[in-house]
Amino acid sequence: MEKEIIIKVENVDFAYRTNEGKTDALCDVSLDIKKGEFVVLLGHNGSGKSTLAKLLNGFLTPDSGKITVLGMDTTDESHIYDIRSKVGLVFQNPDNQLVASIIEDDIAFGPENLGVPREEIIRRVAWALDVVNMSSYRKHTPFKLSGGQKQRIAIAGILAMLPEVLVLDESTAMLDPKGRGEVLDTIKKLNKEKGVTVILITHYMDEAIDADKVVVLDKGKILTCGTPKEIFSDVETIFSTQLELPVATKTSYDLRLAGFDIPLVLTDEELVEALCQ
Amino acid sequence: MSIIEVKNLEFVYGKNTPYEKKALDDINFSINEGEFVGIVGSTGSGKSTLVQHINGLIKLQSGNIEVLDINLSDKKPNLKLLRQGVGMLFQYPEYQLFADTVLQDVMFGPTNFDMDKEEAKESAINAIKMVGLDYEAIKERSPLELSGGQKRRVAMAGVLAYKPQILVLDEPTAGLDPKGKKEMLDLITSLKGNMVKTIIMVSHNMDEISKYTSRVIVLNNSKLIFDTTPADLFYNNELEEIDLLTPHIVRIVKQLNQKGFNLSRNILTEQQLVNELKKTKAGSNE
Repeated sequence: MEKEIIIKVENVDFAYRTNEGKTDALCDVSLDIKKGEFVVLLGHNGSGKSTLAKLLNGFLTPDSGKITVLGMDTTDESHIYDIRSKVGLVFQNPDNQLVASIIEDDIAFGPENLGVPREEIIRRVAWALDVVNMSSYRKHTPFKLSGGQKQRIAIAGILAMLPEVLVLDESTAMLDPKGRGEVLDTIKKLNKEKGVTVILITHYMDEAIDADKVVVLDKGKILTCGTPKEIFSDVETIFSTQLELPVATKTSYDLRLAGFDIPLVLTDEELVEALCQ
Repeated sequence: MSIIEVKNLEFVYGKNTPYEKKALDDINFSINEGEFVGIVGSTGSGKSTLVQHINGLIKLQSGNIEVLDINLSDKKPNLKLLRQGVGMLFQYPEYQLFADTVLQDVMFGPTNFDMDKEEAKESAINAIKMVGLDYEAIKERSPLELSGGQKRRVAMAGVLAYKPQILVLDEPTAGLDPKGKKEMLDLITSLKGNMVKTIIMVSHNMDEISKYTSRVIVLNNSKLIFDTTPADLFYNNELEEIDLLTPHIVRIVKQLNQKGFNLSRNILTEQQLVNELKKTKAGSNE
């Protein structure tokens, strides 16, 4: 059964304007995000990933083209609160996202602004803290936490609004491996169990391996789009955009060059299996 | 020759308050000139607290630290000399750029360490070139309008310009894209041969640590639990228990060896693995 399209991006152009002129950020980008999909956006700095993320919840609006979230046009002012509560955005630097001096207040901020009843807010705060594994810090101040802990609080703050789409813009970049793993597990759990659509922007190729769809942006355009296997098998394209291959893929590629008869693989386990054949 | 000596170092945040937390517990190690040491550990394990001690940004509470013959337990250690000797590149250093032009920003350090203007300028020019930026093209530009990777290079030049003997890097590749990461690590490797003799790098990226450093110090729950080579650390220990990840290459080698391969337990890079597998294959074909 064909899944419902939750976000539709059609021929979108966007440029940043300053006194010195304009810088094109996105050029004729079209993309469908389906309900429940796990989509990873790759591309190096300046490729337009973050701009696209900000366009998805009406934080920015397209110069031309059209973006619709559940049928609502992001340029339609009357729907902007709906759109922002449906599409939650988590940024890279948690310090820029925390608003209150006590963690539970910080997490309550989003739902409060959406007019959620008090009892429900209390339940959601407890739930969101539990999801990110920070329940014991409920009454603490977020400012004394480590970077990774702060980021989990920022994510909890978004979760408390019960978004249908979660957009994470390099949200694990400042975390340690454990923090990264926890956040990713949380995101995957939300995706699999609660059906939350996830759009993950990352520089870690490992994080792209389990995606339903990988989109590679380069110089403001969609360069290629497909399953992780399709994307990483196209080694030339990955090299031309100066992205990395996952370690196992790179190793299998080098081994093939050295005359080994093995397929291109994505994971460490697949590589081991291929070599043991 | 040891240039950093840390003995019985302890540090407690918020002492005598309800938020009291021990950040460092009986830490002992010494670092010799010429080493490239990685410091790893999960968030909150005490890494940042430790490196901040090394150039006197945190006042010693208990224990002893001697860096470049400056004893930090002295009543009034010469902190200015210490800080010139130990260059620190903090996390996300691009947020610390402030001057009107790149040249002024890079000259700030040397000027404050009492170099005269000509000398400071010459040193700044050298440092800007050293980090791979085009001096003529960039000197008059505002550091704030550069790209992320360029900003980080300018910040690095600002540290190198006052010619520290020890360079401390706190997650130098965090937040960079794969291209920026590789460029930064190549830069650090080239500095190691030229500008600075001793480098200490804090990182969460075990693939980076295993590939670039020659020694790793592991902190866990405020304690130093390992001080060894990357190969020994990653091959002889189960790091998942202390929330660190084993590098991919090591995981692959360990799994292959379980399945009957007999690969060297020194393999830390893709290239080494490919070479070793080639040898194995050639051997079995004979």
